[in-house]
Amino acid sequence: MNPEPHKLYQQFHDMLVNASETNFDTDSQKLVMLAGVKEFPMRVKSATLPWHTINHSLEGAEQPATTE
Amino acid sequence: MSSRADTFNTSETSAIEQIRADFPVLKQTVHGKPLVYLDNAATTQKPQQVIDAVKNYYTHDNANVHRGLHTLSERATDQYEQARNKVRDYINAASSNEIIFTRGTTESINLVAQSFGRSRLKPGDEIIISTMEHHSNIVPWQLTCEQTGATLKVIPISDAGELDLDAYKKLLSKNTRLVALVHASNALGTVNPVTDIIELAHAQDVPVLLDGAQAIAHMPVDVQALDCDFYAFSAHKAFGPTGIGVLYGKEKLLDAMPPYQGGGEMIRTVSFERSEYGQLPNKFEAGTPHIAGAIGLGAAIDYISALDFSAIHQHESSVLEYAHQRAADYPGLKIIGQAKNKISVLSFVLDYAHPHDIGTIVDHEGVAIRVGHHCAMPLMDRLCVPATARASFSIYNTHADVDALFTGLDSVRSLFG
Repeated sequence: MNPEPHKLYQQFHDMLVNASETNFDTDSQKLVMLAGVKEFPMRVKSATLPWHTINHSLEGAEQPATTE
Repeated sequence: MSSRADTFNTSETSAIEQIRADFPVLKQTVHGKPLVYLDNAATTQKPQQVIDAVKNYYTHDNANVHRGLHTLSERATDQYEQARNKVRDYINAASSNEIIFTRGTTESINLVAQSFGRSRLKPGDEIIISTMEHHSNIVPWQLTCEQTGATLKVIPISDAGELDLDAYKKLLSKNTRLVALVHASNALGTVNPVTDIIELAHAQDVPVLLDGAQAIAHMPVDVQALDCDFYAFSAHKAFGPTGIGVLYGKEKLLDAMPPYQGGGEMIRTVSFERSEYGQLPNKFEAGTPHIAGAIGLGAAIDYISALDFSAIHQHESSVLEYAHQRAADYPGLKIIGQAKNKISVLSFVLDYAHPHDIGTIVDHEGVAIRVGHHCAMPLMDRLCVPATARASFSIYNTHADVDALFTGLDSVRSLFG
């Protein structure tokens, strides 16, 4: 598996779930725009679900993706 | 408690102010704005009278019911059974034996699905529900069908959100064993023509269960006039506590049904060889019940009974009509659910914002609405929407609350529109 998408997923996830400082690569800097979602705890799932989905499919998982 | 029957009529504004004063939770700000609570179809707020009833019970009378000989137990039992009598009178049941306390509408329906359904259904039998059911009136029947080999039949609806009665007549057959239908839809507001539905079913000796979760707070319910066989509702959608609800069932049917759960309270004698079950209603109330909840429900019934349903209806209709007016010419807004006969529910979508975004943004204006699929995913599929935003009104809501919702929607539009 290409480590790059997984790293991005992890960084994005950490930015919203763990509220950690995130140093995205230059190409991915625009993702910081979504950091404000952490101010809306009920919406973090909405923002992270697509990342869970891509991560899940890259891993070839058979079960549907969830945010849990 | 003094009667509020005339308060709506004397001066609507002051009457609503009086009612609002009974609900302490409304006196707060959310994100710096006065709370505008428009999520009443999910749960209504509680008047001080209900809060006090629960508090007084725990403060002065707490004991287990139907077992102790001591004074507190007697008081608790009296209050618990009085609550049952209040429910009986409120829905005009013929007997207190027909009032079973449950955890809520969902458990009431599960009780019928498991006890009535499992003991009677066999392969080839059919249960009729409709497209607009809440999951709680779908899944219990699916479970029963899996267990018995019976089949679920679904009455379709129109684009406006009304039942297709011709299709219903065709679905009713010699194989139909039960019709389970929502009285008023949580997601659309549609009030179904239940009298006609019941008459048609009874003409073929088919019993009818009504899911009254939404209807109970918005209209008088007379189970004998309706002639429904089962009626399920929750206290918390009618100003009572959560975790307590009611299953009404005709005594003849309940008598013939096997117990739903076993345990204390529901037996007459127990030995390791066999147990003898108690009489109605105890047969269906295994274990220590939610005593404080039942007492709170009794207080909620006292509260609502002191109001006048025609005045409630008039007030809620006026708020709904105003909301519909505001919605009609609002840019990009589509009302979901345009039945002629509706309870005060405005479900809608905006063509430029997802309902979840609508919900988050109006919350920051102090306005609480529900967004999502409203536990009615088959209905969302039928209407080709992933979700809706829903404002649902109660007796304490005003035209100003509707204005606050649309001010919130202006913020949505300025961001997304």
